Amino acid sequence: MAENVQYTEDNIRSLDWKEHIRMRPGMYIGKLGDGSSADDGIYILLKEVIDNSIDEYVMGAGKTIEVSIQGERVIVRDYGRGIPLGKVVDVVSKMNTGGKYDSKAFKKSVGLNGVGTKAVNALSTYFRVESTRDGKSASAEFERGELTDKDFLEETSRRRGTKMTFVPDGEIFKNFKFRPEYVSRMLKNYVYLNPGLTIIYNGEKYFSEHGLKDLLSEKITESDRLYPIIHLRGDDIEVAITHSKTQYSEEYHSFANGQNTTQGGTHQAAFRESVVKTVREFYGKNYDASDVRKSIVSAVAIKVMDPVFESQTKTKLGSTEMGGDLPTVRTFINDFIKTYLDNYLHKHPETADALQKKIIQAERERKELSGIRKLARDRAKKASLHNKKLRDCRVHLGDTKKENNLDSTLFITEGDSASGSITKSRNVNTQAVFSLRGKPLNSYNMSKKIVYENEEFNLLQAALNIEDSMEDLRYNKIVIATDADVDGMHIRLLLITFFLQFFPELIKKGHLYILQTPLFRVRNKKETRYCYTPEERAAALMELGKNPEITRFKGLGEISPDEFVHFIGEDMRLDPVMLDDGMSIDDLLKFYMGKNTPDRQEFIIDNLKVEMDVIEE
Amino acid sequence: MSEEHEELEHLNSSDQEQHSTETITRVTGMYKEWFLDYASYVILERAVPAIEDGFKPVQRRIMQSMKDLDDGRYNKVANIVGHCMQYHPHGDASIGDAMVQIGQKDLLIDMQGNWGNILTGDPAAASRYIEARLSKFALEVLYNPKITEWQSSYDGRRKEPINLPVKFPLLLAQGAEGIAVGLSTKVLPHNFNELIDASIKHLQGKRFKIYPDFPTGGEADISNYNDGLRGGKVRVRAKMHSPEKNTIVITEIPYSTTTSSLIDSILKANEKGKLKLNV
Repeated sequence: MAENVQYTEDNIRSLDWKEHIRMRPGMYIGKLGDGSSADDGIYILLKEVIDNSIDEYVMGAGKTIEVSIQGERVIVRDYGRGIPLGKVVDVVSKMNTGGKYDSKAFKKSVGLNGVGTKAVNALSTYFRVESTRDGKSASAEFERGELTDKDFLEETSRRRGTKMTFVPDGEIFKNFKFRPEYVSRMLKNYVYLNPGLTIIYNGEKYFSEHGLKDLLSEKITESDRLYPIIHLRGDDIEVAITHSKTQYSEEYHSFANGQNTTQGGTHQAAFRESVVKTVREFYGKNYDASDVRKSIVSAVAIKVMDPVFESQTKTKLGSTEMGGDLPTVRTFINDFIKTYLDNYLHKHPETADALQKKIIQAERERKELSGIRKLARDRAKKASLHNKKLRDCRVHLGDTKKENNLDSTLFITEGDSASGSITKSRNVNTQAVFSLRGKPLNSYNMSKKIVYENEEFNLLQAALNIEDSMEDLRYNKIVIATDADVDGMHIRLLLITFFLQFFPELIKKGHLYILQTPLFRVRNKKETRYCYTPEERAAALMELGKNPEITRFKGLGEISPDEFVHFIGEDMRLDPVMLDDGMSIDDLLKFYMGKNTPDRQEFIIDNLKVEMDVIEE
Repeated sequence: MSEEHEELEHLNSSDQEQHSTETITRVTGMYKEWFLDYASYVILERAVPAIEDGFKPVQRRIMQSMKDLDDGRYNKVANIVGHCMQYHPHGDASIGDAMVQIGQKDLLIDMQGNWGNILTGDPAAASRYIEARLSKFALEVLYNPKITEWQSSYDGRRKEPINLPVKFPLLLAQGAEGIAVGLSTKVLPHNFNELIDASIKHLQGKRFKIYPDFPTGGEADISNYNDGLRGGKVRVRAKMHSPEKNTIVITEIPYSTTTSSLIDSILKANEKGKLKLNV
């Protein structure tokens, strides 16, 4: 029965700026989260603050930025020009106030148009801004956007610049924790995009001399590069390209005005297109685009005026024009690559040679696969009508117009024991379930053929929609949800091996996670606690007094659907799968997933884990 | 407070506040931990028998369950399997199969019903049909609660033996086979009487030599046995004779083959033309 809702003048409300930000944080910072994903809100807050300092650096003021994160408290200090002292309060608390509207001053700025720091302010329990210039200093403190204190120093010995301190609001970012790995990755991107800039993070120094070339050097080990990194720089554009010897997939790191556009966009599309075009023209052969791009590892950064992004979180560039009197993004990148890459290949015949061999090899491999592709196509057709292992959700990563597209999640479950509960307790809008049957194949050292031959892998590929490119990925999070027993561990290894072998980019871009489920339930008549570690169990036992009931969850099938809601809802605990710095994927897989070796045997014997619960009499 | 001072203080406090930030286990760490979890488990808890009593955990749990239920009468195997699940948190089918295998060695379990046939490879009847009780030998040799060390079962509700105090070289009698991760085991079976003789010699401090023997018979070549160490080999041949033309009588077959697999292999040889059968 529909209630008769009154709609009168009383219903019309005008929200205060901070109220609005707190009510609809998603509009300003994307998603919330607890810091276990790189795109969680707390990192966006940090980014908004650092962006301002970066803008100062770009304008030639302040070569060093200091970032300190201790627990929940974040301090960012730059040595830029400092906010004009009279406007310190306005800049961080008045909507639509900023120094970046005049395109001349900050023509290729990174920051939001005067929204960024206000969002940080409104979403922090403590926010302090302090600006120093001309030997004077002004500061202001806020709580959830509300001014609490103001100070002005006529005289100070401090160096000029701005210092912002904030503590994110735990009410909005539940149980949040900053993960140093994500912060460090983000800061690295900043220094790669701003060669010459030094960022000091908790005492550690980040600096890059060669920009995107350094970024690629980090992403691909030297022994895996088919040829030395091609590094090209021009006005408003910088690219770095190489091909991998072992990786199948294409890997792109794209940036627009310093923003890491993880979902690509117009610039990345133009870059992909122009590389193929240039290479074809250089060799005078009409190579297939996928052969040219196979195994490419590359980075591209451009600067456009007044950039347009397809979503609020700015992960996909939508601008078609460079701005000013420059041509379109597409023409601009095309012209640049056409001239510079062509020149480079002429000047470096050994690189040109290696590249051509790789393309021919890719062509051969593709033709070998073509027989199987037919089978695959038939399967794909079937899967697109109905993927029998998949229970899909409504919103996908590609739906950039929808607010919660970043929440789209695929759970890969082990057997039917868990898929039933997850299906029942999931959020149908954003959470999908893919159920495996038994243990998947060990795909180490198999060729890509297996992805087409093995029905399970094929359906997984279809569910993720990553056959052609990572850009069409349908879920932001891919979560492996296996039992917390040893066979579950084994399945995790087998699945990660599959992704490392065929789709490493998925892991590199931080899409893959492991679902943590509680190991124990401890309850007495009044209270129920779920414990994820033996330590938590010990703590719960202490608190719940004598003789509580302890249930050990060995399999996900033991957890009822109404309990599962808690484990995949707001408080979901996810462990991201993240590569080590400078590691070789091939060595890792060879050791653990390859043939048995004396080395491995020794390693197992030396590290055997013995668990026993001996009863003393 | 001067700014430099404040920042310095911040840095100094970093050690104590480490707990409030969480570091991420990278993928090599994940591989190491999970691989060792899995490998250790499969080695210790699944595929490899303990040298002390010759049992894999599932076998030991079956023997303990049979002791728990022992009242001198036959019990349905399905019931024993159900009871065993209090110790062994895995599928019932795998417990049933393991139990049939122990039974077929005809040493520890007194069997009732169709327990299958190791010579023909015929499977046992379903566990709801067949019955079992401990053999006299098992009751005599396997149990002694007073000298048994116990551990608590997976859910803490029961206690189970860490090893059974077996008064007999059971591992050598039954043999064992298991493929774990990184390691595997293969122990061939031995003759019961020979084992007793060797045991007596050993207890008297005398030297002894013992070689494998097989319940299915056959003729064994043990020249490459290498005392059962890694790489050792035993070759077994079937025994057959031809009492008349067009007839071959096979009286003994090699260990781990069955008449069905033998017939299959003869048919295959015929198909490939390696052997000519006159039909």
